[in-house]
Amino acid sequence: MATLTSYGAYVPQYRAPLGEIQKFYGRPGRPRSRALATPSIDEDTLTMAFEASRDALKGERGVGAVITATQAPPFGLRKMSATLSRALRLDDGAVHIDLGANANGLLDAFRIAATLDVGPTLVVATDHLVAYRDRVADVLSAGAATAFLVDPGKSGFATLGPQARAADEVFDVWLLGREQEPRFRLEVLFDSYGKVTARAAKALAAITKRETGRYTSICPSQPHPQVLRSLGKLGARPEQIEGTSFVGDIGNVGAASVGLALCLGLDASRKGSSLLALAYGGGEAVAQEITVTAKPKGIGTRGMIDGGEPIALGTYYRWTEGRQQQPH
Amino acid sequence: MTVSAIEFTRLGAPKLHLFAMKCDKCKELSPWWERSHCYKCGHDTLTEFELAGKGEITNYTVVYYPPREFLGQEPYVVGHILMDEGVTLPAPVMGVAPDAVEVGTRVAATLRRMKLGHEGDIYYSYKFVVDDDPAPKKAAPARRAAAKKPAAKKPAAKKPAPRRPAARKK
Repeated sequence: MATLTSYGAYVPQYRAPLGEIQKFYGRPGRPRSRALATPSIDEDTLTMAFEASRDALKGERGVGAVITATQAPPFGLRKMSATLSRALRLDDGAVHIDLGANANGLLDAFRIAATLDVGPTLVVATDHLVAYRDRVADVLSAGAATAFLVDPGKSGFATLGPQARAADEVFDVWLLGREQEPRFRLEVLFDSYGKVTARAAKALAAITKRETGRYTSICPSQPHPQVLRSLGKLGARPEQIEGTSFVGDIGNVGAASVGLALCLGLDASRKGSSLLALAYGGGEAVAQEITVTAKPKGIGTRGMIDGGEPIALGTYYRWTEGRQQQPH
Repeated sequence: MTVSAIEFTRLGAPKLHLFAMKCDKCKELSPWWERSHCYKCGHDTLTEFELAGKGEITNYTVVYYPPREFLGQEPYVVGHILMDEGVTLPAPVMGVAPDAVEVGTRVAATLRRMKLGHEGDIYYSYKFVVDDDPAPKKAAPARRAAAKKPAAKKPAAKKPAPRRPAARKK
């Protein structure tokens, strides 16, 4: 059975004012997050992945495989996992796998890592999607990265338990003609948020014989109101999610979401704790049981989330939309 | 991809990891771009030597009007970093305000985007961020240690008499 032997996270230093961003783009409604964790102009998914991986590896270089999960890879052709591996100076013979992932990419990567017969696997989830006027719809998009070292042979501090999945057909993202950027329509996504997540959680309960309300913590990719309602119906208590929620503080960090929630859960865990990782993305939900067998050395994830330096709307614009329009 | 021939001749391929060049003969470390010969002994075989990535700022400047490829990043700090191994490298120092940077600040290397090329191609390289860890006690920079040694050997290590009082006596 695969275990987690170490983990790391990186949350960018800067916080963009979401209320002002919504006003600027003419988005109605109350901001659903205090600020957005925004990578600096010289950061992207690769550099954030590097930071998180370095924390997770702690000088270890004997890694058999590197799996990266992101929706925003910096390259069109080059493998992000291979570039990351070179930057970390890992073994040349390592297997490199790139997952074009949404929020459940990390749990997919856990599943793959558990089946690989190559020794320790570095699993990295990193993301930064930017809210543009004409482009990506979710104005909550922020950046972060998380990394986990999964070892199928060695006994780590937490065991990766069984997974359960559920899916619905949704039409959320598509490419039109020769357009470079995908278009999003999130309203059709939200319909399945709650029901698919609940189906996955129920399916997992049937496998593990553990009810949703009996986990120490639930680590959801995003505590969307629909998800919370559905979990509530399954017996989940608010205190199970309290310590692992962060979207209201720094925004939605895409593929890194469930990883960041897991880091929060692991930081607060002790021997015997059980975590329920719940990810939803693109109509599919994945639920996984993680059992803590020894208290892990915390990495201070909450401190990374609570810290940060505010930036002005103009700086956010220059670092995101301005940069995309004019590469120089 | 448009690539500047000068850049690639002088700087080599993009730098994904931090290293210096070590002379096979005298073991002196030189910055990574010194590939032809050792500046100390003139030996022509240098090999890559991986650096731990920690050091301190020995001097710096603030760039307010950057070259075209770096526009948008200004103002930014570029410093000379004396690595713990003893070699000095110039590099940008990020995450610190220009008026907050100080000589002697401990810094740690990290991977960042250096610039975007002519067609949006990304150049990654090492930059430095402020490091909260204290300086290592044992691993004093080789160059500083070397500089301290002759000072200790000087027979006139006894404090020389101050000039002014002597002049006043006259």
